[in-house]
Amino acid sequence: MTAVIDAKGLAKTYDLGGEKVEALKAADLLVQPGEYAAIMGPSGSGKSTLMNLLGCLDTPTAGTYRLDGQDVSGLSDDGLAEIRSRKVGFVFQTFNLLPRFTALANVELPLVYAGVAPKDRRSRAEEALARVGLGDRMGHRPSELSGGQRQRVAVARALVNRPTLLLADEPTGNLDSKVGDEILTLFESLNAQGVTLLVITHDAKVAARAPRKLEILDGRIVSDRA
Amino acid sequence: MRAGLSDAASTAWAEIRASRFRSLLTMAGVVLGVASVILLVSLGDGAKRYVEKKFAELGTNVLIVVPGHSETTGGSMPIVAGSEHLLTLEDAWEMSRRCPAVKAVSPVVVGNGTVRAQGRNRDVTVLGVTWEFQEVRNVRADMGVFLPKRREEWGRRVAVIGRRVQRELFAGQNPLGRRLEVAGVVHRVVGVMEAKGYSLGFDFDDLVLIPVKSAQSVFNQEGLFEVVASARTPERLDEAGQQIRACLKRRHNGAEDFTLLNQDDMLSTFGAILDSLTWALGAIAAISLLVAGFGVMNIMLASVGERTREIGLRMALGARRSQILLQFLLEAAALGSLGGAAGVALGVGGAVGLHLVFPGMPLAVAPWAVVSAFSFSVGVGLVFGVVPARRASRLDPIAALRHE
Repeated sequence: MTAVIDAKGLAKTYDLGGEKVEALKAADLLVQPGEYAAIMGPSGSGKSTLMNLLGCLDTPTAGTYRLDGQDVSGLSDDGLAEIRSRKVGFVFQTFNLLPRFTALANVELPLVYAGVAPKDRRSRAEEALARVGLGDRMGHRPSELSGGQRQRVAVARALVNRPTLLLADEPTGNLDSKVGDEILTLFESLNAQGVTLLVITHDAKVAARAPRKLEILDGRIVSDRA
Repeated sequence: MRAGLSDAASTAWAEIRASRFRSLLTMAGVVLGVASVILLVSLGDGAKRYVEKKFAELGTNVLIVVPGHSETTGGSMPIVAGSEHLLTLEDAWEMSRRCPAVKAVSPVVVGNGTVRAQGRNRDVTVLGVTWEFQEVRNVRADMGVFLPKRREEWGRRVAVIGRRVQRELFAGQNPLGRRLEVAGVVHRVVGVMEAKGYSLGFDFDDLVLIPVKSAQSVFNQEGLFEVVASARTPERLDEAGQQIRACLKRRHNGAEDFTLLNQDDMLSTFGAILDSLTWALGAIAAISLLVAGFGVMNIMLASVGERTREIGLRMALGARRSQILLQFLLEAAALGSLGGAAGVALGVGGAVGLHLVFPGMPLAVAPWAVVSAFSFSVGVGLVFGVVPARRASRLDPIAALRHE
C-alpha cells in the first residue's frame, strides 16, 4: 500500500537577512491511507512549516517527500499547484472563504482549478456540502452563516476534489469549544469514511481526539504516539 | 488551459460587480477618454468634410493663380507663401488673350474697408475684380448690372454690392445709382448680387465688388491678390493650366514665381491640414485615455493588495500562477472594455445630441474613431493590468495566506 505521506529527513532553513533559521530539522514522517493524526506543538515549533511542506505550498531545503507515492520535493510552482489541486485539501483556522461568493460557489472553486467541467462542478459541490451537513445552506454567503457553518463549508471545499490528504491547520482555533467539538466530530466521521486526516494544533484537547499524536518542538518531531 | 478563459472571465466579472462603485469610478476615466476621442475626432472629421464640400462648390473647372511659388503637396499652405514677384493686371490680361483653353479670367484684389452710404457705415471685404469674375465664380447681379466689361473701364468708380450690404446700408431700398463711399472714395452702385452666402471663406452677401483698378488705387495695392480663371470645360482644366503656366513663365522671364491651384490641389492641401488637426485632437483625447489607464492600474494594484489572502487561498486550492495572472488581467481588461463601451455610447450619443442642438455644426462620427477608441480602451486595460496581475501571480502562497 502506498503511504499518503512518506517524508525522510525533511528540513527547511530560512535565510532571514543573512541569519539562517532552521525551522524544521530532518523530520521523518510516514502516514498511511485512512490515518487520522494530530501534530501538536507550541507556536514557533515548526508545525506551520511542516504543514506548508506537507501541503505542497513550499519545498524543503533538504530531504525527500513523497505524497501518495509521488516525489514532490523538486517540483516547479505549476507542478506544486497541480498536486495541491488533486491531492491536498486545506482547512484553515480562519476559514478563508471568499465573502462575495455563495457557499456553493466557494466549494466549486477547487473544481475550477482542477479543470472539472462547469456542469459537473455544481453536483459535486452540492454533494460535498451535503456531506458536511449543509445541504440546506448552499445559496448563503459566508456572512449569512455561523462560524461553525463557515468551517463546514471550508471542509466541504477541502473534500470536494476527493484529495488524498486533508490538512487542517488549527481548524477549531476560531470556534467556541462546543462548535469546535462538532467540527472534530465531523472529522471523525469523515475519517471513518476513509479520509486521511492530518490536524495541526497547539491545543492538547484537539490533539487528544486523534488516534495518533505527534509532538513537534524546536523543529524536531519529539514524540509519535498511537 | 484548464480552468480557462471563461472561468477567469466570470471571476473577473463577479469581482467587478462586487465592488461596483469602485469599478464605476475607475471606468469613468475610460468612459470620458473614449467619449472625448470620438467627439473630437468627429468634430475634426466633420470640419474636413465641411471644407471639402465648400471647395467642391468652387467648381471643377476653376483655376487660381497666386503670386509666389511653393509646393502644393505637403503640409504648408501655398496661399500664404511669400511672394517676390507680383502678379499684375497685364499678367491677367495676357492669360485671357493667349490661353485658348481658358474661358474667363478675372484678376482679384482684396481689401478690407469701411463702406459708407446714406450716413451708415459698415466694415466689409471689398474685392476688386472684372466682369469675367461672375463667369468664373458663378455670381450674378440680379438687380442692375455687373461690373463693366471693357478693359478701359476697369478703373471706374462703380460698385456691385451684396444682399446684406444692401439691407444694412440702404435699408433694403433700391440702391441703384446711389453713392457708396469705399474707404473714403465715392463709387456709384450699379448692381446687387443675388443671394449666395458663404463661398471659400467670403460671405458674398456681405461683400462689395468694385473694378480691379479702382480697388488697386483705393487700397494702394500694386499687385494682385490672385487671378481666378475657368477652363472651357472641366476636361480641359489641365490644358488650361499648362497654357497659363507657359504664358506666365514667358512673361516672368522663365521664372515660375507663381502657384497654380485647382480644386484638387486645394482639397488635398486643406485635407492634409484638417487631417493633422483631427489627429492632434484625437491624440489629446487619447492622452486622457492614457491617464485613465493609470487609474485602472492604481485600482488594480489596490485590489491586489486587498485580496492578497484571496490570492493565497486560490493558490492553495490549486490555482497556477498563470491562472491568477489571467484573472487579474481580465479584470483590468474588463474595466477597460466596459468603460470603452460606455464611452462609445456617450461619445456617439454626444455627437448625435450636439448635431440636434447645433444642426449647423459639422460633425461626422467616424467609424474608425469609434473602433480605435474602443480597442485602445481595451488595450489600456490590458497594458495597465499587466503590472498588478504580475504582482498578484508572483505572491508567495504562504505569505499571502498569512496576510492580514
